[in-house]
Amino acid sequence: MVRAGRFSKPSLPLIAALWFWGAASGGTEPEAPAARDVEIQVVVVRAKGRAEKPKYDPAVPKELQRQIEANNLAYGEYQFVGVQRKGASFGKDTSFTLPENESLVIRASGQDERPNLVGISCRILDSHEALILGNQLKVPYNRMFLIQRVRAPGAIIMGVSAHKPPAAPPKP
Amino acid sequence: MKNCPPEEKLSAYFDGEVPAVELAAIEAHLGLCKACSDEVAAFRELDRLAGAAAAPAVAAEEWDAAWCAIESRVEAAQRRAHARVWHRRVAWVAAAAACLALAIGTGIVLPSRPTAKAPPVERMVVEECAIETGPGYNAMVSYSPEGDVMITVSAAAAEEAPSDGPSGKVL
Repeated sequence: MVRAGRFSKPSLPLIAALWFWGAASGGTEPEAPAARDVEIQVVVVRAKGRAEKPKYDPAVPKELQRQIEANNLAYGEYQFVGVQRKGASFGKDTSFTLPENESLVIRASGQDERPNLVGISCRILDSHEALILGNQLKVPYNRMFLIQRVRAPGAIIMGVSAHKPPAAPPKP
Repeated sequence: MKNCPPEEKLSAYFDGEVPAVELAAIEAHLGLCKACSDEVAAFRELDRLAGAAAAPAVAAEEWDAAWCAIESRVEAAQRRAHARVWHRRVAWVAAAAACLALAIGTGIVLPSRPTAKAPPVERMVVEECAIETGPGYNAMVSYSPEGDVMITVSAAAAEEAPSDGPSGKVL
């Protein structure tokens, strides 16, 4: 007599394997990465000396060079220290490392009324996390602005820019 | 007198360029013809006068100056000619551009179509930059002519950013 609703003995291992596979793939689904509202990029350059014709490290981005010259900075040498690019959520702090154990903390904010702009709040903190500089401004995306931290005999120049994160791939 | 030799022949005789076969005939004619002998005498007088007026000596400096003047005139003439060529080319280009603009304006070349307006260039900072500094630090904001923004912070103790020009607007 054949009874409905019962599995035959040979099919049981197959069913067990399917159950385990389903539990392994679906049950422990990895968490989706936290959504990033913006990407913040900080280019750090060390400036020193004085010269009429500056000497640029080839790694210094051209846009940063242009702004250095547009702002009439007259250091003699610009040495590339590094570039940091981090995804950030609006309203949350993102920290960037600076030379001499200082740090640049940036908090971005969206602008609902003008979506092509992004609010940038910067804080430069010293090694004891005491405030050196705090400033807020609204800038267009993909536009760099400079922060010059003067430390005799030179300076640390930061090129800060905000970029829209790449669009997430469509879900299958 | 009839059968007078032409003036060129007399000039050649005076210069000693007449062949020997003609020389005797010309000399015989000159002995008989006063007009021809006067002509030869005039040649002789002219030669004497020309020989008497010696060419003035020209110093090397004067030659240099003269050559400089000549070269400058030649160069000026070349520049004028070059400028004329360019003026002509520019005139042709301007005329062509004017024709094209007229044709476009009247819709001959391109049909009128709605054109997308270029987005306005965003000023770098759209709101006043709020700044605060820690104790012992000074800060300022400067704008480049292109609208770029730079925030400078330095310790209050006489640390100064080197700058060749005006540092811009300070808030």
